Amino acid sequence: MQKMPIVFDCDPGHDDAVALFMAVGSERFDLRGITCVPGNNLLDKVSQNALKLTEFLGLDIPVVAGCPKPLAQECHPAVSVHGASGMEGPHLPLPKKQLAKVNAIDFLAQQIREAGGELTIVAVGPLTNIATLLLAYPELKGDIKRICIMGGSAEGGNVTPVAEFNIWHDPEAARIVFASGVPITMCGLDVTHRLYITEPEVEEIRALGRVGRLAAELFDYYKMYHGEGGVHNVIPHDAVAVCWLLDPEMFYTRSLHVEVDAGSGLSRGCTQVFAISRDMGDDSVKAEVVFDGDRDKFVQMFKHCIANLG
Amino acid sequence: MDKRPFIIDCDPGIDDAVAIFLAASCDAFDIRAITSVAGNVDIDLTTRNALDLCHVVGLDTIVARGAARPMMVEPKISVGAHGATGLGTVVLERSPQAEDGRHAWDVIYDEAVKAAGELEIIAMGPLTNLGILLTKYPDAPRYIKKITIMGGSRVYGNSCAYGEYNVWADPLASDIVFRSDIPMAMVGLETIFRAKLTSSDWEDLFAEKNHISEITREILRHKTERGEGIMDRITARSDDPSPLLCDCMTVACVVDPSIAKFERRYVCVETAEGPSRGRTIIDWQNRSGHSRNCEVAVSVDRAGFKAVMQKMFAHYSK
Repeated sequence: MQKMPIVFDCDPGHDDAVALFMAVGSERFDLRGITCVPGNNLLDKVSQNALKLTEFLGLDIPVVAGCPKPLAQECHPAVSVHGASGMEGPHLPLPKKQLAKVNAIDFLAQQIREAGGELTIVAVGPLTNIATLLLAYPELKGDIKRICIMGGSAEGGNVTPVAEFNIWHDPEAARIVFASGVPITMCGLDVTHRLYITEPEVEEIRALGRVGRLAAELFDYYKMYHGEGGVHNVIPHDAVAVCWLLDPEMFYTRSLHVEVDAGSGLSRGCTQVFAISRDMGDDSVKAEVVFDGDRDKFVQMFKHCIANLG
Repeated sequence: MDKRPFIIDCDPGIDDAVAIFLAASCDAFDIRAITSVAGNVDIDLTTRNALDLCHVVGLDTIVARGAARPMMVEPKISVGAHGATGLGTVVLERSPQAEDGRHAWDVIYDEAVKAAGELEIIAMGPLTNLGILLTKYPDAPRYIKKITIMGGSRVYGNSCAYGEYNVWADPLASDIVFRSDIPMAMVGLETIFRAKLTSSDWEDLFAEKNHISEITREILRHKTERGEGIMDRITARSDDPSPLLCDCMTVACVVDPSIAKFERRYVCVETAEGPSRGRTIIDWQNRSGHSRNCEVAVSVDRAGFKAVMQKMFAHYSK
């Protein structure tokens, strides 16, 4: 079967890391490169984490640092979730590899052109790089097959009551991306909160091998943010976006209008999801919004991909 | 004398046209490129006009197409204000030159790097191209010496889009430019109103008969016949319906800074939706505590501006 060409735009990030493991372990993707964006932590930190991960996985692909800050505001690193390094927990050696000395936006454009209409962008961090790509290369919009996003929420936020972190970190960028007309899949909190991994399942993952051990160590730290009353399920948000591309049939997805609030009110960063467009007219842009999925199957697939990596 | 490298970013546009005539006539300017943006009219027209205007003044330079729409908000073109083509009733000879294949923002960056920190930009339309430049190239500020914009307003002008149009049309891009740490100068609407040339001033200028003065006269006819806004005339304390050339006056302030008085202030842009969207908020009393990021033109000498225009028309008689 033909491998799906993708670029992974991310801010590693514990869940970015395990999403990357899932993508590589699935053996279904042709991963053309990784572009980094600040979100979980500042650009230099997340870029270093990305380099560490590619070295750990033995991947020889370009890792490119993108925009250093959101379009219209300052960075807000999620240190309480991901720690000081952005990927706190396991120790990974300093990378020997260096970041590719190329403009990340030019890199993305080149990948789009080379894939001849087949490139999917997996965007699991704030959408700063993606928006800048669409602004700087408007003529390539029609050549992007899909942007599969981890971000947003129809029903409620995490960083604010109405906003999910990735969208909240750069609402202007998100608004530009969702209004662009490029096919979009939105894997928001609605679905990711349902696809958790239990503590016993994390132990099964730990036993799968070298990569399983690393994933479990990442979860050991990351689970401290999730869970209440002694129960620490882990929610690997970004891995859901990868899983949707592997098997969309196991998800409950609906085509809906999504408008991002990039205003200055209390709802800043909210993805407004609605069925009947009011002033916009029905030909206005829709996204594939994912609401639910088969949790058991998700965990099974996750384990399968991790086991493949040894 | 070393020529100053410039890029002119514009949306021709009637007053952009005359501003280009002025910039092209200035011996001290080395115009590295004209970059077009959608604004007064759509991007196809502004790009076409930029090419043809360069051709008519014999300006040999790169012409590069920019953004077709603002970064985030919906485009709002002022239908009819500049005529169907953007140049009133004037039809220019079609330039044989083709657009540069690169995007405006890539040309600006390439030229900025080449000029090793000496490049200056005059921006006379919505700031979309500069917003995209600064987002795609985070190191661009290192290479740009100064940006002078025609935009914003000292006090009022919020209730009508025209005048603050450039800032209002793309508030996100404007905000990015004002926060960029690049030295900025701003020639705003009210300052321009006060130095507006009278109809009799224009008659004096058109006494210099040449190809460019004839085209200018014809281009401006559309503006005059359409009539200027009420606030223009109130501020100018005149009911003289002479045309107001904002972009031209902005370029004149760069050509001959002695005609203008600037004061350094902290300026930011209102990006929130609502009646104040696009307002340039100028901290005149220096109370905000922010560093003063912009030279704001507070007055332009009308006679000085007229002299600059006189020199321009004389240049084209040669």
